[in-house]
Amino acid sequence: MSAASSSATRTVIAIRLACGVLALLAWDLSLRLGLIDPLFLATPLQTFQALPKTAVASLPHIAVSFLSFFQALALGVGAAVVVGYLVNTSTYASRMFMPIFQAGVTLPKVTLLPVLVLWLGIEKTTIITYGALSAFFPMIVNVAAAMQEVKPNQITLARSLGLSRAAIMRKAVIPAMLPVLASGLFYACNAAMMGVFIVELAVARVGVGAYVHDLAVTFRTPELYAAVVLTSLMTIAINLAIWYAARHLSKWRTVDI
Amino acid sequence: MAVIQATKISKTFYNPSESRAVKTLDDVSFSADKDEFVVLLGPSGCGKSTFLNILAGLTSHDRDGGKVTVHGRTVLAPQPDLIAYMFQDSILYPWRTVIKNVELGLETRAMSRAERRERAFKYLDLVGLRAYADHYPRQISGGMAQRVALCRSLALETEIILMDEPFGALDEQTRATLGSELASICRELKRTVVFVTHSLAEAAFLGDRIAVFSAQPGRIKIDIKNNLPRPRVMGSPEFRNFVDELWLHLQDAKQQAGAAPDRQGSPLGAT
Amino acid sequence: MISPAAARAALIVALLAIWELSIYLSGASNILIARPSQIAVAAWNMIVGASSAPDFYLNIGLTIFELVVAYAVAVVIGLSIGTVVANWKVLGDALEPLLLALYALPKVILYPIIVLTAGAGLAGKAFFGVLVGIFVIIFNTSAGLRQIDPNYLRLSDSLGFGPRRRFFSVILPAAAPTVLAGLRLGFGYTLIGVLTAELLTVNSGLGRLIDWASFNFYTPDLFALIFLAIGLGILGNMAFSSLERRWVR
Ligand SMILES: Nc1ncnc2c1ncn2[C@@H]1O[C@H](COP(=O)(O)OP(=O)(O)OP(=O)(O)O)[C@@H](O)[C@H]1O
Ligand SMILES: [Mg+2]
Repeated sequence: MSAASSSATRTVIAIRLACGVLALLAWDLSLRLGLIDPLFLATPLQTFQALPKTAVASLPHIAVSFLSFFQALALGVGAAVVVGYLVNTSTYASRMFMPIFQAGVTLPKVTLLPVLVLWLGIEKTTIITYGALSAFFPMIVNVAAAMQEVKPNQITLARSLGLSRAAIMRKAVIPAMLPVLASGLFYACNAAMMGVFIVELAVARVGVGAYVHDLAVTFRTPELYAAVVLTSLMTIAINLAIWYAARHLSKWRTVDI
Repeated sequence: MAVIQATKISKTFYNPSESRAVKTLDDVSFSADKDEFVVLLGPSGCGKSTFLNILAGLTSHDRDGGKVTVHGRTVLAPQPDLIAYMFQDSILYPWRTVIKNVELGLETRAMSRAERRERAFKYLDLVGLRAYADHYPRQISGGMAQRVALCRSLALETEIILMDEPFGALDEQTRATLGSELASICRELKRTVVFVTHSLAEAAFLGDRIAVFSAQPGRIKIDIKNNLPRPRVMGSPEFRNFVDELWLHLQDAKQQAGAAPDRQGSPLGAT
Repeated sequence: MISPAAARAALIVALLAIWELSIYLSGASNILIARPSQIAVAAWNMIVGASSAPDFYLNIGLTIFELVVAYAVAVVIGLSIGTVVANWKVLGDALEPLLLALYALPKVILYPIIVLTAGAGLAGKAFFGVLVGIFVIIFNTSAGLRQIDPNYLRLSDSLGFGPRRRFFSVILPAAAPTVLAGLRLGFGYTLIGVLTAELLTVNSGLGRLIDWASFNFYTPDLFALIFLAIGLGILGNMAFSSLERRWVR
C-alpha cells in the first residue's frame, strides 16, 4: 500500500512542480520572444528583485485594505447570519425570500458601485458597504443550507437527554451547521476581498487596489507585478486557510469506511 | 407500586393542510410497576411511538384530564435522571465518534471525564462495540448504530427505560443475544422497562406483561400477564402457545381497525 | 393562502410603490435617487433612441458580445478541465490545491496586469470574464462526474454498453444536475466579470454607458442601466433554470 501511495504522491508533487515551472516559463518566454512589450510586462526575475522594495512600500496599503476587508466581512456575514436565521425559521418566509438571495449571489452587483459612490462618496464607507454587500449573498445562502442540516430528531434526542437550551445549541445545532457555515465563510471571504479590491481599483485613493492602479498607470511594471504577487499570496493564504479549516470541520461528513 | 403511570391519555394530531384532526391515542391508561418489563405490541401506526414520547415527557397529550406520573409526580418535561429513552431511529450525532455519542447524555451530569469514558466503555463492551469507539457513525452499519443508541440509553443508568423497537435493525441472532443480555441486565440492575416491538417472540421472551394496542384510534385492547417461567426457552411448547395467543390478539386488534375506517379522523371546520 | 412566489412578487411591487411614493412625497434630490416611474421613462427613451446616451445599442451589443465570447470560452475550457480532472485521479489530486488557490485569489487584483498585457478592449474584458466565470464550471463538472454512483457504471458495463451508450445513458444523466448548476452559476459569474472589467475601464460597453450616466448625474438613466444589467443576469438565470427543469428530472 505504502509503495503505491508514495509513488502516487511523487507523481502529484511532480505535476504541481511542472505546473509552476511551466507558468514561470510561459511568463518569461512571452517577454523574451517579444510577444509582449516589456513596458507592460516584467520578467519573473525583475518581479522577484522588486519584491523587497515593493513589500515595504505596499504594506501600509495592504494593511488598509485588509482592515476594510475584515470590517466588510464582519458586516456582511453578521447581517447574513441574522437575516438568514430569521428568514429560515419559517418555511414560508424561506420559500418567499431565499430565491431573491440566491439570485443575488450571481447578479452583477458591481453595477451598483456608481450609485454607492453617489450616495456615500469616495470613502471607506463605500468600500466597506460594497464589500459587505458582496459577502452577504453567498453567506446567507449557506446559512440557509446550514439550517437544513439540523435535523429535528437530533433536537428531540437532546431534549430527551435533558440538555438545556444552551447545551442543545452548543452540542446539537452548532456542530451540525458548522461545516456548511465554514464553507459559506470561505465564499463570503472571497467575495468580500473581491469587493474591496474592486472599489479600491475603481475609485479609492488608498488601499492595495489604489496602489496597484497607480503602479499600472505609471508603468512601474516590476513593482506592479511584485505588488500583485504579494497581495495574491496573502489573500490566497487567508482563503485557503479557511477552506482547509472548513474541510477539517466537515471531516465527519466525508470519512471513508 | 406503579413507578410510571399514565391515566386516560388521548392525543390528537392536527393536520393543518387538510384541516383535519386525527385522534391517534384514545383514553389510554397504563402503568408499569417497579422492576417490571412491559412490552407494547400493536399494528404499525397505532401510536406506540407517540405513547412512549408522551411517557417520556417529549410530546404533550390532549388536555382533557389525562396525565402521566412517575413516582406520583406529574411528568411535564423530559426527566433524564429518571427516564432513558431509546428512539425507534438510532439518531447518532454524525459529528461525534461512537464513544462520544454514548457519553452525550452523561455530559450534563456531575461526572469526571474519566468516569464518563469508563461508563461508556462498559456498555460498549456489553454490545461488543469497544473496537468501534473511535469510528464516526457513518462508518458503522445500521445495526451497530442501533446498538450504540442502546448503549447511550443504558449508560444513563436510570430507573426507567423506554425502548422503541431497539432491535428493529438487527439480524435474528444478534437480536436474540442482545435480548437475553437486556433481560438479564434489567433483572440484575432492577430496571423498569417499557419496550415496543413487532416481534411476538421478543415480546414473549422479554415481557413480564404485554399490552396489545389496537389502531385508529390507538387503545390498549388487552393487557396480558406473561406467566412463562424464567429462564424462558424460545422453542418450548408453552412458549409457542403463548406466542400463538399473542398473535391472535394482534389479529383481533388489526381487524378491529380495518372494520372501522370511518373512525380514522373527523373533519374540522375550516379555520 | 397565497403561494410564496406570489407573495414575493407582491412584496417587490409593494417595495416599488413605496420607493415611488416616498421619493415623490419627501422630494429627495433627483441627483441622488430617481423614482421608478422616472427610471421607466429613461429606459424607454434609451430604447427608442430619444436619450443622449452614446451609442446605446452598440454599447449594449458590445457587452453582450463580450459576454458570449467569454462564456463560450469559459464553458469549453471549464468543461474540458473539469472532465480531465475528474477522470484522471492523480492529475485531479495534483491540480486541486492549485485550482483552489486560483479560485481563492480575488481575480480583480490581476486586472491592471490584464489591461497592460491584453489591452483594455474586447480581449482583456473577455479574458477577465473567463477568469471569474470558469472556476465554478470546472468544480461543478468534476464534482458532478465524480459523484456518479460506481454501481451505475458497473451496471452499464455488465449490460455491455459501449462507451457512447455509457456516456449518454449513464454518465450524462447522472452528472447533469451538478454540471448544469455549474453552467448557470458560471454564466452569472462571467457576467459579473465582464461588467466589472467594463466598469474599471469605462471605454466601451455597458460600463461606458453607466459611466456616462453617473458622470453627468443622469440618475434615472443610471438606474435604468443598472436594472438592465441585473435583468441580463436574471434572464440568464431563468433560461438556465428552465433548462435544468427540462433536463433534470
Ligand atoms: N407529529 C405528528 N404529526 C401528525 N401526525 C403524527 C405525528 N406523529 C405521529 N403521527 C401519526 O400518529 C400515528 C401513530 O404514529 P406512531 O409513530 O406513534 O405509530 P407507531 O405505533 O409507533 O408505528 P410503528 O410501529 O410503525 O412505529 C400515525 O398515523 C402517524 O401518522
Ligand atoms: Mg413507532
